[in-house]
Amino acid sequence: MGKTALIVDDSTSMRQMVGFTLRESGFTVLEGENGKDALGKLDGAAVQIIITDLNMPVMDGITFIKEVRTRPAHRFTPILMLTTESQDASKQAGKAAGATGWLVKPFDPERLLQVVQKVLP
Amino acid sequence: MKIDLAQFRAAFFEEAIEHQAALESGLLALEREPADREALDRVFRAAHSIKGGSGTFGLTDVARFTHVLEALLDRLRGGQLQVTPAVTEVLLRATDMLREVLAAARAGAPAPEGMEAMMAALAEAQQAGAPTGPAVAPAAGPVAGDRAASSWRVSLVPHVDLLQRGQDPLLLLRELEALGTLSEVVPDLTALPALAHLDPERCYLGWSLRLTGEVSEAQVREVFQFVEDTCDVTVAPVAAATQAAKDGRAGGRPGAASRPPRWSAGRLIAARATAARATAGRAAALKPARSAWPRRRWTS
Repeated sequence: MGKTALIVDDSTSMRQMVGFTLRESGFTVLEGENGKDALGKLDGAAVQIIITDLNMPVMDGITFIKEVRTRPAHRFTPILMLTTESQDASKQAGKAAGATGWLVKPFDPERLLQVVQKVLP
Repeated sequence: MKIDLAQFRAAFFEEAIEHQAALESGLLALEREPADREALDRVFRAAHSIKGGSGTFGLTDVARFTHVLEALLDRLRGGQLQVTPAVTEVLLRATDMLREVLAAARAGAPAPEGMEAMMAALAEAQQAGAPTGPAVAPAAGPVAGDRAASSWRVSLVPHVDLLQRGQDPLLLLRELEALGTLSEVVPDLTALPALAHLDPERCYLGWSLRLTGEVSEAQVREVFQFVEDTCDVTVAPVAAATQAAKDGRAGGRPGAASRPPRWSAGRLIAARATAARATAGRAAALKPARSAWPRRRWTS
């Protein structure tokens, strides 16, 4: 399909797992360690879907989502947040910032692919 | 497709050990300076990360333990609980226990002795100083798992700002279509303004349709999981009269009994075309204005 995903998480293992799952499904994967790092990766890249953690150092996920939505090329790009059941307030903030959907941890690869399919045109 | 993540298990444990160390150093910083917000955030993130990864690998003990730990840290972050010497003391002991819990999980051994007692101490610390509010019992509600009713009337009215969240009504229709047979798909164009007033970044269309198949209400509602606050959605079983006719069939072969009316496909295509036009308009809006170039090509 030739689609590119950007994964944003300060946890290396989480990036590896999400990245592995998406690569197995034919995605090209870009990675960012936090929101700021990811914005750098986003500039000039053709990215069709973004998957981001919320709790990160330097720039958190909510700020990152808001920033992405100010980029003309990514105003309508699907953004999935990685959340946990206990993070309802963050989830609400993420939605208000412009997130498309969410994925509840613990990370489950099959669920990731289902949700990606749900939001990816 | 079955995706095997076992290869990342070792990486998880290595990272968990780093997080455990970060937890400990953060707590020591908090012990010295209880108002150190950054240290508290660092500590929370560390516990949160371990918890998140542990569930993925089915490390139940690690997940349970870090869940209680995280809950206490969350109350500290939220200000419902003060960072006192007593609290940091419990947290430091819990961090020691966490090291053992991780080691046991890595070795595939049973949970270390004292884990349950430590969890109880964490839970107790969490209650201390906080008025016990009403237990947040998840509303059990009707689970809506009734597969018997298998014909649903669905109405979907996206809010104008749906597209701003990266959502797309066409994807919702596509997902409904994957659940069963769509019929009586009628686009609602009443909110569609004249072209001159149309903002291509806004969604003006709504749909009503009938979905037939071996589908529970919960499955139908699942389609709208992400759009609960950007769409008005109603899902209702079709009227009993219509249902009665279908009840005659035994066994319930999906989709066999109620054939959609002949014109339904055409209506669906019309709905899709309308949505596609809206989407195309939106795509056009994203590109720099190029309206002049085809004319130039024709004339040159």
